[in-house]
Amino acid sequence: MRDQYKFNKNYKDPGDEQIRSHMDFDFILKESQRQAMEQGGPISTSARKRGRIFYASAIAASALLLILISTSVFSSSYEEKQTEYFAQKHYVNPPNIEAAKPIFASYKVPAYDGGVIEHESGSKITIPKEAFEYKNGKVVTGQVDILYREFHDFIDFFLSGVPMTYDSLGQTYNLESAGMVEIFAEQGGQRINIRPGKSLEVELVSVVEVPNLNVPPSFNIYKLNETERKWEYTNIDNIEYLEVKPEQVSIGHIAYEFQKEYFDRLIELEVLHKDLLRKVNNSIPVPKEPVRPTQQREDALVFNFDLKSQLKEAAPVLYGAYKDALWQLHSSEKIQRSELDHQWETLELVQLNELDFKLTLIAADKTQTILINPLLVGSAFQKAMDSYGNALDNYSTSMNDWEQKIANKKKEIQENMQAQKSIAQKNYKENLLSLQTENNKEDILPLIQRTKVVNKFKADELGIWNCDRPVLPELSKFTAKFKLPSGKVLHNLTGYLACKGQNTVQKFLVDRKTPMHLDLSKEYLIWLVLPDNKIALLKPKDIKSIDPKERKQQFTLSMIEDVDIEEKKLRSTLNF
Amino acid sequence: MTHVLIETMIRARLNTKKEKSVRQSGMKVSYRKKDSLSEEEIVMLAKEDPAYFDFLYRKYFQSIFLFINRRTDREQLTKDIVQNTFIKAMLNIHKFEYRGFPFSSWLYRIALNELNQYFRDKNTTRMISFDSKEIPETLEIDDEQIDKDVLISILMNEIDQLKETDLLLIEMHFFEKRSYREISEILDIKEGNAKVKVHRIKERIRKRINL
Repeated sequence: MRDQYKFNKNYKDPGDEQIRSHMDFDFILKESQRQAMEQGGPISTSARKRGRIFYASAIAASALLLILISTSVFSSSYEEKQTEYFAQKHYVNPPNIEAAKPIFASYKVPAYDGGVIEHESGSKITIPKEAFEYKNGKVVTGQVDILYREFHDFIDFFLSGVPMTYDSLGQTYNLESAGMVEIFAEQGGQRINIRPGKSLEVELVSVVEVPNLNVPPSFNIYKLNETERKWEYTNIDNIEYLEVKPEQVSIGHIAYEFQKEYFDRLIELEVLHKDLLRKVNNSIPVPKEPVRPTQQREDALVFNFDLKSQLKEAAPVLYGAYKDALWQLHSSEKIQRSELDHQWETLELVQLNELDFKLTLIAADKTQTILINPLLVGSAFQKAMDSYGNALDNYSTSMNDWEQKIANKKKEIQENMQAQKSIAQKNYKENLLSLQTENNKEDILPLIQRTKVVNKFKADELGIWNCDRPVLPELSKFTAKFKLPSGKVLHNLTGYLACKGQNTVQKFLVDRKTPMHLDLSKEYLIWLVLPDNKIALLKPKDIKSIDPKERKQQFTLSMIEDVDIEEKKLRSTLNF
Repeated sequence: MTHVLIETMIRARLNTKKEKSVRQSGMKVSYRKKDSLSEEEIVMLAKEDPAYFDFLYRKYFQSIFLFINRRTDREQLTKDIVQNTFIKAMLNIHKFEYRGFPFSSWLYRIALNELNQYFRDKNTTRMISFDSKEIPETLEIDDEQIDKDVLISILMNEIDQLKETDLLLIEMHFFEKRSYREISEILDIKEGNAKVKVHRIKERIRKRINL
């Protein structure tokens, strides 16, 4: 051979997850921007733009280059500024509108017996027996106060100040909600906690917009971790329809194809889901359980064969502990001692599993095979038991670790599967809407309607729980300058954005040039709470009327003059 | 999974955008299926806005990773070369034009250049990876006719004599199971030419083992 190449004859491709762990689009984007600047031009400008850069006069080229570079890096510097801006604020950061804050309802429950709370919305919270503990871990007895409130629409989310973004695998999503609850428990004004292993059963009644189908909409349950400033996925939302008559259209219906496509996708996802869950247990090797040293059975036939050399060859791992072992007949072996009394010339030992061996006894005139176990006695047994104890501890730790890893993987699969179902459902809804005309509204609208549902989940901690699904931000982009009627340009303030048909509110940093990610065919409402607590508003028609080709937009907001606006007025102001 | 998830979401969004722009332009819109946006259109969008490149990145990351990893057999090195590949692609996407070949073949060519550059710079020998269990079937040889280890040894010897371009053909056809069409697109050669070369090498091996 010329040896110009190296060979790996037993190559195996790395697994999907392993490959995915190397993905980092942010790095690619930043690095390409850096290299582009080093090379003297921004990335992803069309050839035409590049032509202008390279052939204009030196001064004009420098100016143009600056503009293009600033456009190109603008987004990432804005992102950094925005991250820093919100990092300096409380993670749950309600606007300073006192009169309009959602209030807690208070219920008294006997801590020892537990009980069921029925909220005015129809929601139910079941509290198990002895569910709470004090900070010192002591079980709470006597009456406890349960403080409970619900958030249902984008105005509730705005007023509560809860964040509505979720980061998963490097991607930031907006959370579209099917309802949220906040629960606390107190005794004598002191906060108490849920005991480990206990959980409250929440049945949150809410109204969601869903295609009228046999399958409930897909949402997940997230718990707000204020310390780590993130939503934590906990489980899927077991959602049930309360008021709906599922309707499936038949062949010939205008929406039949879309509905079929949607159902097929759900079936496909179910199959994939089951397959992934089936494979997950094999994805990480299961720790091997140590085998307990064998003791002599009362009725067992014990031999004193010298099998040292055979054992060394057949089971080198066991040799150290079992080299001086006696051997006893395996419990399943029925052979009589008399059959073994013979002048054997050769002994062959084969390990079948941990402590089970096959011994072949060979003589000139006959061969006999028996199943045997090594047997330790006295101090050798004690020593082996000590090692076994240590091995068992290690095994228990490894097993817990393995179970945790498998549980995490399953959780990830579950989460992704739910997200994909949500996408399928969202696509289906959009498809239905694209079919809708003035004439066929009656055929289409019954397939999409706001429906009362109950979201069922278990809360094992007190705090804010959210029934949500992640949606990606829109991709189309322009930069916006927001002004007051006086002409003052707004900056360094929190902006709020709501999109019709999506039950969420996005918070963003209003800067002098704010990148906006909107789909201009949809209806949006943008508003700010100014430092004097007045609200400045940009109505959907003002956003819709812009020229979509124009990359820079300027908006003049209208003012709501009330300083401490009442909830009723706020709702009518933000209603769109 | 996430790969599929994000891809689907972006696809849906891009399609919606496309449909809406058609609608706004006053053209008659019947209805479009959601997966109607072509890769060519996505590339076009990515030329204008790097954010759209994310779609292409997610779509091709795995295949480019596997392609490079087979030739390095070192994950960290693979990661670095894959990163360079996508950075080069992003910097040069404005130069990419559709001439009948898919975007992926352009990416593979960048990946190959990056790989060759690395091996040249480091003056190291590159890796050829395969699963020896699959070889008899790949070469259409009954494993009862010849000892597998002997067969592998003959194959390695034959491969070791090959020039880089012929080696790529063999790797892509035998070990990566790519179609002649895809190979011809990546290597920018005629499909017939690829077939003839692979056939000749296969025959040479069969002759060596007297079949």
